[in-house]
Amino acid sequence: MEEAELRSQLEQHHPAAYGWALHCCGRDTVDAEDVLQTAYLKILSGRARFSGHSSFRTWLFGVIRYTAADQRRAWWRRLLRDSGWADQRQADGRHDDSASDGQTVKLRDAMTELSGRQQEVLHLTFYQQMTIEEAAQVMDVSVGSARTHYERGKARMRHLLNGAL
Amino acid sequence: MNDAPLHALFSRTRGREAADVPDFHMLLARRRAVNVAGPFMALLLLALAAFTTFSVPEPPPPAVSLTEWRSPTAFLLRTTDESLWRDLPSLGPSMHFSPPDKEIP
Repeated sequence: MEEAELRSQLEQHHPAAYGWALHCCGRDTVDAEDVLQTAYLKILSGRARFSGHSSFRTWLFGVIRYTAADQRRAWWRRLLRDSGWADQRQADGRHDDSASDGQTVKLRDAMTELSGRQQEVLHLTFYQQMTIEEAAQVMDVSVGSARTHYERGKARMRHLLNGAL
Repeated sequence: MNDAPLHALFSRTRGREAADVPDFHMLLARRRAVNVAGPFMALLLLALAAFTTFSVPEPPPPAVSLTEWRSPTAFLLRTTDESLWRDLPSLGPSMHFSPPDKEIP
């Protein structure tokens, strides 16, 4: 795929990709933007190549997921961030509170009660409107496993949001 | 089961968050945060490697020949009987310790 075409595809999926990056970074806006920029640069520089085995969107989401995991694993980055030495942007209010109406807050609170896999599959299917098969590709798990997480997560969400739904 | 309420809730959240998505071109063009820690750690490791490789080892103390070697406790062997006697505390006049003049029948 040519760079111009890659750029065009990335731009087209940018809003959804930002939502996914935000989810992968625990709703930390600064980390989400860093992860997204790193993922885009990986793709544009050819370090991550689209092979065409899946849709561009699921592949892009997979790259973002791995990039976020890499960033979490960088112990020195965590150390510097926690010490507040390197990143002066901490004071800017990193956590996304954009959609902070009652129901949205309840939804976010309920999501934090779920396991990581359940959160991922529910975000991908409900927020990103992917199929379970696509979600499984992004999460790098089998479809059966994704379906199990989906059903359990959904049941738990219903229980937690009993009054809100 | 009816998933419509969940879909509606997520959809509303997505709609609200869409306004806060950073501009694609701005995000790509943004100057990346300078990675301070990476080069710092690399320099530190390099300095450590250079130090261990090129540091001159401290010369060992000169060897002492066997004939000149003295035990650290050799002074104990040099203590004579006389000096031991001198060091004994006095217990009183010596007459008290002398043998009696007359032998007891």
